[in-house]
Amino acid sequence: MTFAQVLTPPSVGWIAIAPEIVLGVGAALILLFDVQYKPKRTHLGLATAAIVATAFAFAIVQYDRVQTLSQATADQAADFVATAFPFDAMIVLDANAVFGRFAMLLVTGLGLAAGWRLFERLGARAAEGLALMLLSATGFMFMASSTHLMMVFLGLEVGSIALYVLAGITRERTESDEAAIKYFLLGSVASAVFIYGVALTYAGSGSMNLLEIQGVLARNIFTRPAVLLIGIALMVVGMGFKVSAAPFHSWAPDVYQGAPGGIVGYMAAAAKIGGFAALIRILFTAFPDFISTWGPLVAGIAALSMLLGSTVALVQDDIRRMLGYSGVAHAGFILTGVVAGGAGTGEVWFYLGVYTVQLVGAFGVVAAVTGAATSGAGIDAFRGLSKRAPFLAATFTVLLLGMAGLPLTSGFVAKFGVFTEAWQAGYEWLVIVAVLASVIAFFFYLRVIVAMYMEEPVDEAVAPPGISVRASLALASLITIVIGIVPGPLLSLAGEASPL
Amino acid sequence: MLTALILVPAVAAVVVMLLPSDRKELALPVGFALSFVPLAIAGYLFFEFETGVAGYQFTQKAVWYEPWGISWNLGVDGISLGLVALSVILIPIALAASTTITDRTKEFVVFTLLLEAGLIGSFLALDLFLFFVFFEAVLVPMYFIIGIWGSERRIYAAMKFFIFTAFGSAFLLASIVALSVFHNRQFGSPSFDLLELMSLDLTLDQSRWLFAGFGIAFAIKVPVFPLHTWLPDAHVQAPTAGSVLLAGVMLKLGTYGLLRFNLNLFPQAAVDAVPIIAGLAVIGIIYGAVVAIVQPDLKKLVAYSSVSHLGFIVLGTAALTSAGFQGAVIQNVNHGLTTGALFLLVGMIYERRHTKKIEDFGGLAKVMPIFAGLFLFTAFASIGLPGLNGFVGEFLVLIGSFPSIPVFATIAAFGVILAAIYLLWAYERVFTGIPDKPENQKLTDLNAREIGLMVPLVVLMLVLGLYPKILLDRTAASTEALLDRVEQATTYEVPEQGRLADVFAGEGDE
Amino acid sequence: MLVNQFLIVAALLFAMGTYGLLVRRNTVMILLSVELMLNAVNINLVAFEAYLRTSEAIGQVFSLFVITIAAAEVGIGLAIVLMIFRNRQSANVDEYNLMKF
Repeated sequence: MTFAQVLTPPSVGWIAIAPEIVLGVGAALILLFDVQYKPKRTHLGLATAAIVATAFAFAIVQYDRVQTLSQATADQAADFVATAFPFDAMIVLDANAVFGRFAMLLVTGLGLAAGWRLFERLGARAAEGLALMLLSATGFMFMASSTHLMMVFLGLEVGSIALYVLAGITRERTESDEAAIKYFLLGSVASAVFIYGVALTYAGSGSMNLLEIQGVLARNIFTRPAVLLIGIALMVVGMGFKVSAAPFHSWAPDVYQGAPGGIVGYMAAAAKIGGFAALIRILFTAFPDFISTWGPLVAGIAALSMLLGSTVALVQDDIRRMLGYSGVAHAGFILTGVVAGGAGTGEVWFYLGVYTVQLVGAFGVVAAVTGAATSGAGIDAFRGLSKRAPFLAATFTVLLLGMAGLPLTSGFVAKFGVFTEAWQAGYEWLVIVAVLASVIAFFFYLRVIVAMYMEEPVDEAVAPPGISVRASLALASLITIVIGIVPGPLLSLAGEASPL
Repeated sequence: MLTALILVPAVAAVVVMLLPSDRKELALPVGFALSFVPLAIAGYLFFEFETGVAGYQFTQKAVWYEPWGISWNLGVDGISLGLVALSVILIPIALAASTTITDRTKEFVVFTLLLEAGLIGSFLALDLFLFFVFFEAVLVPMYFIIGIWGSERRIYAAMKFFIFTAFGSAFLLASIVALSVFHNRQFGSPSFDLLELMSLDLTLDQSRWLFAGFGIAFAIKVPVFPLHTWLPDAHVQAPTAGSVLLAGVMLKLGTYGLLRFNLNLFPQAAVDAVPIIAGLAVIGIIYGAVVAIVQPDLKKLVAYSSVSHLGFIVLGTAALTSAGFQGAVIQNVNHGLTTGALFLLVGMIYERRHTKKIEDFGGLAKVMPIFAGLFLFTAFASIGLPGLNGFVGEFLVLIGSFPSIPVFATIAAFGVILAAIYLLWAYERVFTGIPDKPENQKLTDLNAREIGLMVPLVVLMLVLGLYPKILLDRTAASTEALLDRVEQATTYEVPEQGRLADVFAGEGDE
Repeated sequence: MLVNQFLIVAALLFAMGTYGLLVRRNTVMILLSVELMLNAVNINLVAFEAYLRTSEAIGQVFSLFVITIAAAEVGIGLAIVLMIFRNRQSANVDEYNLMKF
């Protein structure tokens, strides 16, 4: 190694990480301004929204750049590499990363609006909450946009650690701190398992760069198969924790139930997007040829998640816990698309996009009904909601039906997509399990609708939700219905999002 | 044209939804008035429909999402035409019968109109994806109609209804996914177009499994014998309009699906499955009738009579003869009219007495002569008295199934006799004798609105009974084509018609 | 150079960490067990790097990152434990039972 080589500066492509920079710097600025000027909380909220919007604008610029790149000719190859793989190929600018940012930023914006009352309640700590939210979004976006296992791990930790704190941010509430410690302990174990897998993969392939790993594995008959396979399995398990797939789901119901109501929708959605983005990236980019090895593992996790999530959700009397177990089932549905390999990327992203929007919306309704800073949401609080708060009941119904996957909602198109891909890939049994699980799932979604529409109201009046909450809920249900009827544009957008 | 037929009710639902909430008395009249628009469109279609043409007419196709091969693909043929007409006729009647609904009227009207859009959409869809969307989407409005406006055990009934049907739909969904994947493997692109999928080359095993997948979904909807348990609950708990639409149109999705999809897509599997289907149909006919005889509840009686009558339709489908198909198609419409009318009548008496128990009545013919007359007329139509519509359908089914499946046909014929027993015995207990209970003596006869509801149904029963040609002409070509499809794709040969059938067919052709 | 002995040490450490995680009742001890697991990974990374000798020395670099992140995790973890202790006067995981299946 010569001196000159060492001094070669890394290729820098700021545009590839512009949204992350905006969010990270924005989080720092919010904290600084809060300390210096003590602004009103409304102003802080608007500033956060502006930061998210700016990041979104940059993501659109990136999308445009990716479009141009996809038409690059052979003689532009050097340019292509410099733009698409900046920072010595630690970061990648491709449609997969950009779609991940779109989903993540949309969820952040919706989560901010739907949970706004929480930040009002937090008082002086509002700025911390907002900054943590932005930081976690930054981390999870890095998970979608890095081709290097180290960057994936860093993104995972930045995102997760921020979420641990957010789970316990209403620190006086014992449920909230219990949720935080459970999330923290299981989350850090998951991280440890994940990087153990990274280390073994490194041992097996000699690299941590996913593209290089793919190249090495394609060129050579790999030398340490057992090590490599254990590495893949451990990474899948680590990500399984993050996306709350069974049997690694035990934290999810507790966290969904215990964490403050206003933020839990965002937390659940963000962790799912980040985890699946990394899973797609790792499995599809680095190990496409190993699909016959990891496919059955993922399929088994998927089947277990769907069945366990759906059946256990049946007996829950707490809506948040119920949504937690339904989240386990949905992780299984998304994994059903993952087993199809690279061909299923579009369907997986589509499912992730529409499901996380529904999730944030649903938790928004829960927060509006039972309070944004509280834990738990017994089903009794929803009895007769259609008479007390027709708007909330109607939006909740749309979102629940969307999660249940009824036709004319986005959830149906999403389910249909992943089922088709799985069947195409030869996992017929998994599709049968999936359709049966989705029938079981109807029970508990309908139970909530029954409570809202067909049972006598309880006396508690529901405080009318604020304008930001109303707007975000309306947007979430509108997306659910419109995408359900006109899925084409989003499907094509997601279909482009296969990793390089 | 067909798109309009689906969109008009949906738009009407939106219009009703946007009515100011302090004027909720407007909802029902507005919805009722708007429901005449689809009626007019369907009427135009019915008379513009070219008889003697086998293919789909008024087809419309627009790509929905190209890479998946899904499209907005509509068309109507002889098999679906009658069902579309039935839907648009029953919806205004169901709305007009719902003046007693005072709680959340607006939502009720919205759900009914959405139901109409979904039902018509299912009958018109030629794309399996589109069909599934509508097939599943009709569940939601019906679920709410039963669950919100039903009687005491409505939540249980609504849940049972929804879960049973959703369970069947799961198999349908898996089968549709499989079909599109097979199309992708054979032709290089996925497709859900019924006509394209008919050219698929399936192994016998594949087509048997898929036949079973489709079959379970439709059998639950019909419902065929062991899967029928949701039906009495749903009917008894549903409000009158819900029962009318459920029995009148929604159940037909099952029989229609069997004819349209199972036979067209998996002819060989269908031929092989004839004994099973016909056997279950006959069990349903006899079982439904026997249970109906012993029912103490008038509405439950009508519900079980539906199980019996729908058995005839399934039997006609399984007969795999021209007359059997004709009978099945026309009996679809007939059953919708007569059972719809019976549920309306039961609803009227329930509104007056708040009971449906047969033993609570007696001698009503004395106090309510018009009601008794209409009930008797409808009962006769349902039993299948010659000259009324029920006769045409059941008779065609029986003579159609006798040449191919004589044993089943013979047993099924007893169902007609049993129908006479349960309906006439119920009539006797409710209407004849002396009105000795004081509550019954004060009952008022039907008012003008209620008579108005019944008039169109009665007229149609008479018209279809005396002049079935108006419908048979339109169905003939399509059922022949379906039979040809089954014959060409399999080794099955249609047996010679009996002489009786010749006579009847000769009459129909004149 | 053989890497097996390092791998065995690392695997043992990881297993000890997992064991401690499962049987310990005190939250602080559980945190220490997680640290043990992370350090097992560090040993692995450094050993593999020494064995593979890649040009970026990525294994060494990664282990530095892991150490940093482990510190951050412990910081957050102890803060949460403190918060819980303040609310309940106990750091025993058996008592985190407000929410159950």
